[in-house]
Amino acid sequence: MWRGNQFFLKLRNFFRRDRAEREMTREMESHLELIADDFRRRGMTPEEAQAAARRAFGNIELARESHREARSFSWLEELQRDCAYAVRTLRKSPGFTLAAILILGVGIGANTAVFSQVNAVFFKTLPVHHPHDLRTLSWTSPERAFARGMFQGPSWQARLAAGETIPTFSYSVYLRMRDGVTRFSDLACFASLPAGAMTAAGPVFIELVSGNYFQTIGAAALIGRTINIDDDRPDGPPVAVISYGLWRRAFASDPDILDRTIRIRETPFAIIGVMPQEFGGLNPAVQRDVMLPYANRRLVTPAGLDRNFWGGCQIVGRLQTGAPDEQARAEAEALLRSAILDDPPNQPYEMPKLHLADAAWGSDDLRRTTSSPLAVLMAAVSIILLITCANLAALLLARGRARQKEIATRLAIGAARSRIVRQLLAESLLLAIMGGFLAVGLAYGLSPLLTGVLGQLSQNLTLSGQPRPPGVYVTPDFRVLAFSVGLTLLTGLMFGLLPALRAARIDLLSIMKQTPAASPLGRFRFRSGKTLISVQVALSVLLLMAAGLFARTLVNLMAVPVGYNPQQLVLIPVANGARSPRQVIEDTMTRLEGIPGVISASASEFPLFNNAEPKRPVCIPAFGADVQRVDWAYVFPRFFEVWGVPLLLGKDFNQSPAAAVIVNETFVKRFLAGKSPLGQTVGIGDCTGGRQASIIGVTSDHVDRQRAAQTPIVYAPYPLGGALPTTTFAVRTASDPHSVVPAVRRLIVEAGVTVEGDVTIGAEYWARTMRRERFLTGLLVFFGFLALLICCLGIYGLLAYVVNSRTFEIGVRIALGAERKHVASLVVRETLAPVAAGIASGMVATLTLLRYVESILFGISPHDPWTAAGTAAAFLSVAGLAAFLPASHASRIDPMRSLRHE
Amino acid sequence: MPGEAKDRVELLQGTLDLIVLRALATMGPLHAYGIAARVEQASDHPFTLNQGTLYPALVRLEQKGWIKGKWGTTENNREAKYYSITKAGRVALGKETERWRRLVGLVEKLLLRES
Repeated sequence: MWRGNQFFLKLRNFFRRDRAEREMTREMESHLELIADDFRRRGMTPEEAQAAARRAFGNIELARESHREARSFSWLEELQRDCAYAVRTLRKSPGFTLAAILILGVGIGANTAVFSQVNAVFFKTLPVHHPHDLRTLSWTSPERAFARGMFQGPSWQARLAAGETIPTFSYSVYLRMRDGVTRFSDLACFASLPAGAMTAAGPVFIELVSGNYFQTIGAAALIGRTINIDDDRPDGPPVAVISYGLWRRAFASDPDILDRTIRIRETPFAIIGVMPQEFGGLNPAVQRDVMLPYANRRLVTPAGLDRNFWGGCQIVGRLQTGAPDEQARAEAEALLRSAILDDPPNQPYEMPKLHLADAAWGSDDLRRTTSSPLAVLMAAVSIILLITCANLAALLLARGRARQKEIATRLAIGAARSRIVRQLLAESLLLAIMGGFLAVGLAYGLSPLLTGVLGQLSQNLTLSGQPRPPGVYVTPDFRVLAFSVGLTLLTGLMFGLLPALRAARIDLLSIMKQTPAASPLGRFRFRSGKTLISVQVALSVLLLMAAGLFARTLVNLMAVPVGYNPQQLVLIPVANGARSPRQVIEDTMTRLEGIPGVISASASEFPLFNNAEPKRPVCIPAFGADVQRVDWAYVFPRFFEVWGVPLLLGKDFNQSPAAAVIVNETFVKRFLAGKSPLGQTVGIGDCTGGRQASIIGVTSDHVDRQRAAQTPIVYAPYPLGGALPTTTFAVRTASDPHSVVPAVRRLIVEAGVTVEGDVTIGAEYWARTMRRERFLTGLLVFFGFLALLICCLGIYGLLAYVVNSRTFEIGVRIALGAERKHVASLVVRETLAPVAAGIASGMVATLTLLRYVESILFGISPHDPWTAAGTAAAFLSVAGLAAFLPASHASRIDPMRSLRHE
Repeated sequence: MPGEAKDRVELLQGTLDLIVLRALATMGPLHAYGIAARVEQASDHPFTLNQGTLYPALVRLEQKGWIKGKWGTTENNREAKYYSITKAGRVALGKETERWRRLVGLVEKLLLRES
């Protein structure tokens, strides 16, 4: 009990320090008086008695200090004194303080912002019940003929080659697994529809979910209820659960939302619930606005998702408590295989192997697409912070020099060196903390923008090329806060420790004796400051060179010939209704051509650059009897003319669809090498008879998206009767394509076709395919220049200090007849060596590190001499600029005044 | 003054508390100077009590509740803070004295045996 009591008494003394201090002073004064009384009684004069009393008492300061130590927590008091002292010192130089806080705020803020993205993508678990029991299912197989209807475009090939597993199943396989599993408490199916559907509220993204989906993942609605098993019946009512974002955006947060409906493709869906803001589904990589029962799929997808279509279902399951993964996997795998055996394909295939993955963080789409850009960004902002630290350390070192006398005086009157170090550290920590506050404020304030950043990085494009925002909710949480607090303290230590240790290590005698005349006139020594300048320059060179290489990569990518003419091209993706589409499409094309400013119009199943063109089996007798899978695109006549794809050989389709196809250059190179392509036949399906078509033309290749390999494509005339789910109209205009867009929109509405996505300008689509590159490059260039700016400030600060501390010496030189020009160059030369050393080591570091990102570069090597030369030139000129002011100041020093100065 | 420093007896940690308590128990309320003078007088040894150690001891004892300080006036009409021993202080003094005796006895015994 005493101990506790003592603690509170000490704490009370800490807070009532003035009172305790007064009491102590009073007691010690009375003590002195009493001693003095004794001495007076022995016959001393009052003055003598006072002096003798002081001698007899001993070191009064020491007694006071030990009194304080005993009565309270001395470290707490010291900390408070250090902080108060730091505040006083910082207030004395508001310019330095403000600049330091700003630089730190930007440095720590950039790190906090990027980390909050990393946090949202990699660390936050899904806002569902027991997320770690959730598993997503996927499979691998070298021969996938059982996977019917799967698109196997080039992007899939690349992903499979990279060892990725396939996350989709068919609905019938799903049902088989759901009904058979015992190790899972339930399996749910969900499917994100790739294109946004047009509604009164703009395009919305739809996710179809099985009736047990919400119950399985353990997510509850914010308003109303979620979809349940009764909703997911073939004759079930059209109901919808909407996202928080759509509720806010399209319904203005209407509290009576449950009375309202949302019309999607002519069907009004009754809204039964709103999900909470944090809910981003199982795949936070893509936004979902509307969730519908799986049974409603025919109402929203033109063709409906066929039960046997292997793109129809992604599966998530909840493990029974304590069930081992391997048992659950083996059980589900057996069910999957037996479902395949029930309906085996007539082509060779290999049984798939099933994989389970922890779904606590959602499926890994977002992580996959954003991990390398986020890593680049995180590296960039860490470098910025390091530069910031080096910069502030150099400035503090310079300040420490300027404060040498003050520190020496304090040491001389008995302050411990550790005390001085603590005091200087308190200063830098205080700066860091204020910068940290600014940083967290920035990060919280900008958090709506941060979600957009992730959208820029995730490279999800809708059919019309609009960025499809991720469903991630990027708001700084406790983890981000802890990160910034830790980073702030670390930063404070990093830039403060070296200057503080340096400052306290000074040699007392030499400082106290020092007069200007005694200071060395030779080369100015400030090695640690110069090293810090080199470090800053090296790090900035790294950033700037990376930015330069990325920028040149972007330029190179833009310069790649695309194989068609995206300028003056308007694209209108539409969904076909139930009416005979061919007639409607032909009529619409004719009317589009009637719009003033339109040169020609055509249509096709998909836009030219859509790499989701389905692979279809074809037989090429001239190549061999094996079935080949090639991209297959249905087009109307004049498609190539409108898109601006040159026909290399032969002719275009005419109005009556015949058994004719047109192939691209790669097709010829791959399958008909050395033969005359015209007149060769292509069998549709396999080689055992069936429909045959002859090649009537060859087009040049085109580029789907940057860095994609060319694939063989067969263009076939749009089928006469067959209703294809989607069509994209293409319109070539005479001048600015924007001028015809309103008329085009009006006409499409009058024609009664449903626009899927939005009207797009070809050139804009092309630009958007490089959105991520552009965005990353933009950020890197920004960071590069930020680094350059910080460096510039650092060099300026250091030189200004150098000139200031050498005023006397420079004065002497000028008095002795040194030319002013020479004096200026002397100052400039001080910085050239560290800057040059920094550039050299920065380049070496860049070459070493950029090997890891070489695959991101395009058409340029990391050893590119021009980028290196440009960066070096930029730095030398900036260093020169930064040195100019202090140098000209030095050359204008008046010798008389500088000599009288001390 | 190096000679003086050599003669000085450094007090063992904790013994000063005991001495102060003892002085207050036998002499009644005393001020800091009084305590110092009393200790000097009673010790029969030319050692001056360092005020740098006396004051923290007083603070410590008061925070433990063993002594209590109260402002009063001396016979010469000077104000001074008088410390008196509390009930808890007397109990503690008894215990501490006992402990000290045992320690001294033990050290004595060990010293005798070793010599």
